[in-house]
Amino acid sequence: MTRFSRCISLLLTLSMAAAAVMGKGKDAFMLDEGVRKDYALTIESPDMSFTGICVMRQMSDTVAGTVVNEFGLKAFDFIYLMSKRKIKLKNVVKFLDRWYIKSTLKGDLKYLLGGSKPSHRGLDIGADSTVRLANRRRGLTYIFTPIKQPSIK
Amino acid sequence: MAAVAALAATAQTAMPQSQAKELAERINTVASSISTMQCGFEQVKELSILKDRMVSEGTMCYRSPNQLRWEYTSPYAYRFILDGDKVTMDNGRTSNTVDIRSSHMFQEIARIMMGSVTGRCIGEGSDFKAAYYTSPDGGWIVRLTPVKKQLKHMFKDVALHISATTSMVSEIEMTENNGDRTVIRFKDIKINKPLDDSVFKVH
Repeated sequence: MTRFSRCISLLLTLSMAAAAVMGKGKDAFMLDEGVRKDYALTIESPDMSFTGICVMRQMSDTVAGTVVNEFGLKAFDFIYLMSKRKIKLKNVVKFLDRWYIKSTLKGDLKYLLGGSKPSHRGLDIGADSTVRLANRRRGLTYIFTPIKQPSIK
Repeated sequence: MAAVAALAATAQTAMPQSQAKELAERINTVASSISTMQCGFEQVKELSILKDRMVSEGTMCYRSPNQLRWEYTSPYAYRFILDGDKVTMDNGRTSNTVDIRSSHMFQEIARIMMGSVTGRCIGEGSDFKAAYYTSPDGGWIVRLTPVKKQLKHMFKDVALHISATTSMVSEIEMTENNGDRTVIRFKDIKINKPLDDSVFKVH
């Protein structure tokens, strides 16, 4: 009986801990309120590779971000509503403006920002804070490398 | 910010057609005389969704007719080297060379970059509709509105700021369809100085 109680207690503790993680969600970028973070972004797929810059900032219940290429041309903007765990893409460049691409991007960003379960995704955060996400279903790898020198003047 | 942009826009005065034609010819004459060009640049990108901006710096080298090295040095490292039909993009971690003939998008980007840097694209009438303005600083602004569908997806317009003293492009202002602007200002411009072949090779 005692052993049974301990098992129940352990299961409850584990499930509560899991629920807490899922309920609150922690973003892979360790965002702090109001602090902007700039990353060099590489997205690799079996067919292509995209490089650019991703800039994001948490403002109260929202994470706002943008992805541009190195010349400054926008790929897309995103808004993540933390309390609703809902992500929106905005101003998506024409060649990415396909429902299946947007769906994949939304799912991957939502996961990175702490809003969904790993499922078919693997996450690795390096000692230098490089964030690497593998979307195994789509064969995509996202690498976010922090840009150390701030680009704000 | 919007109010300042609106004020700046109203400060520009449209040029009469005869003067505009004369200016276009002058810019094209200068552009044709450029065999090499080297300069530094500062790029300021508006990020309206973050109510912020991103500033980057770098250097540019151009050699007529079709070689360009566009290099960002701060706050990130990135090189775009165009050598004839080959474009190499190198961000320090990965380097990728493509034949621009295989991608219409790359052809357009390469053509616009070289045309904008020298001012040559003002004379290439089929891509853009040009409108000419005098600028409050005494120079001129040529506002290029894309005509082709592919370019319309990329920009609302591209404004080339022309220096009154050199009749050369001193600033490029690209406005995206959502209104975000990217402004590139050239500095320390050197014209027709020898450039080594190695500048346009990837090491």
